[in-house]
Amino acid sequence: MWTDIRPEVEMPRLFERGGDVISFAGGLPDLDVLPLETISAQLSRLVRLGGKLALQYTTPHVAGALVPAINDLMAREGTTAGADRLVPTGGSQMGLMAVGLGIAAPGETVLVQTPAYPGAAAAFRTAGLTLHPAPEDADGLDAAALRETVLRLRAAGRTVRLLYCNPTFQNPTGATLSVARRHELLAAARELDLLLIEDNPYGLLSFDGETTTALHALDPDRVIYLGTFSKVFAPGLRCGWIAAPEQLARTLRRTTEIMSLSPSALAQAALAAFHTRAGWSDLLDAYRTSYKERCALMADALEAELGTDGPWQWERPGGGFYIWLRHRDGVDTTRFAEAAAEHGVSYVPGSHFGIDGEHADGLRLCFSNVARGRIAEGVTRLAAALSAPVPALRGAA
Amino acid sequence: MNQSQSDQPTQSQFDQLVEQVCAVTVTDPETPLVDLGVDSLHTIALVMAVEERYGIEIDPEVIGDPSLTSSAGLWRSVQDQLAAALPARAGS
Ligand SMILES: Cc1ncc(COP(=O)(O)O)c(C=O)c1O
Repeated sequence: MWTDIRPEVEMPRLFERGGDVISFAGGLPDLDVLPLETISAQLSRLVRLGGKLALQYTTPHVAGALVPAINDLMAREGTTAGADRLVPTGGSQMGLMAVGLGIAAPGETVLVQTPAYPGAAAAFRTAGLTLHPAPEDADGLDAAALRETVLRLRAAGRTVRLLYCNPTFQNPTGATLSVARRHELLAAARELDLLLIEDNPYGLLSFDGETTTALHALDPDRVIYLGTFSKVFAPGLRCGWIAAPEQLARTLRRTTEIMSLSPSALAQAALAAFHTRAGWSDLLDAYRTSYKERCALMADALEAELGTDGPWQWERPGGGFYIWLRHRDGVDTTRFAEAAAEHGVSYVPGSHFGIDGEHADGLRLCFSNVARGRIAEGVTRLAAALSAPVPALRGAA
Repeated sequence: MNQSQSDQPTQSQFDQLVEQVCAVTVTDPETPLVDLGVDSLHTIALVMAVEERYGIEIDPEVIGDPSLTSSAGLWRSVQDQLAAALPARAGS
């Protein structure tokens, strides 16, 4: 069972020593920017006025009050969804599981953009699906190669109807698929009768405030869009949504009802009230500023410590939470994990983002939740670990 | 929010707040919000916004009563609360 595998956030702790470890591992938001007093006052007001409703079971629909709040977010990437197309979730992880269980059938193949968020691969596997990498070139998902791959898989008797991707500030690479590529991808999807699963937790977290048109904006009937409040508000509320064609939304509502019986009316009402009072712009700006600053600190330190012509290659992302390093000669980065722990720093090895052991030459650094003053020190420690002679894999002769 | 009698907001300004928070059009302020398609969670969000705007507390019982949760009904609650608060404020 995949749940026996240590979750990615826990994994690096395996090697940690003492409390002085600087973690570049877990993808946690920086909640210092949340206006806690306002939220506290609002929650208190909400429970006093509406506790009997907000703390009750509710139906698997996005509360009317939350629909404008969701559309305010989606509109920033050029799209919208009416209430009949929206399904409430307890975050995108639940959305992934719901799509795997409700839309796909066990045994069918889902194409996955890799390196992939491990929670997506785990959800699809748990739903009994077979994973296959979606073909890519240097510019990302490759529509022409996709046609070949799908036809080949179908000729071999496989059912292929779904493609999962995280097109904007991708976890773990930070890469964003260009709009031209998005059009090509959707054209191929229409031709091949594929549905795209657009997982978009980071789309509004660009450093410069720019956004990229969502796949959902370009063809809402071909896209199952997974939205979440985890990274634009806070993950502890466990609140997100799926925007899907109406027929699929009905199916997904039944699936989510089986999964969790009821969404949290309390979380939905709290978010609706926050949006009514303050809108999203100030909070988004605060998150962006925080991440922009942290990313610059990390990238500058990486440049100073690892240089730009050494074996480690990376690109400065334009948003999101992550910097993705790759070893030029394809060395498995698991090999450095122990040395990193000895130096007091942690990261997630690339193999966690492959679906069959690939991408082991990568490693993911998360800058979003490290204290600003610790980033340079963490990178110094990391560089020391990475420039040590390449150790043999543990257990190898 | 210590407004004098003359710059007190009017029913039509209050209607605008309702329209803005609930995304509806208020043609008759006496129409219960529920008949405009505003559900109870949305009504709570509205009353939260109203409380904060006017610095008052509205009785939670109001929310469960459709006859009190029209734009006009809520506006009457706001005025009652503001009136009740006046002597206390004057004395403080
Ligand atoms: C790409 C991606 N999808 C989904 C999730 C799950 O987020 P949540 O369930 O909190 O919405 C994450 C969390 O890090 C993520 O990075």
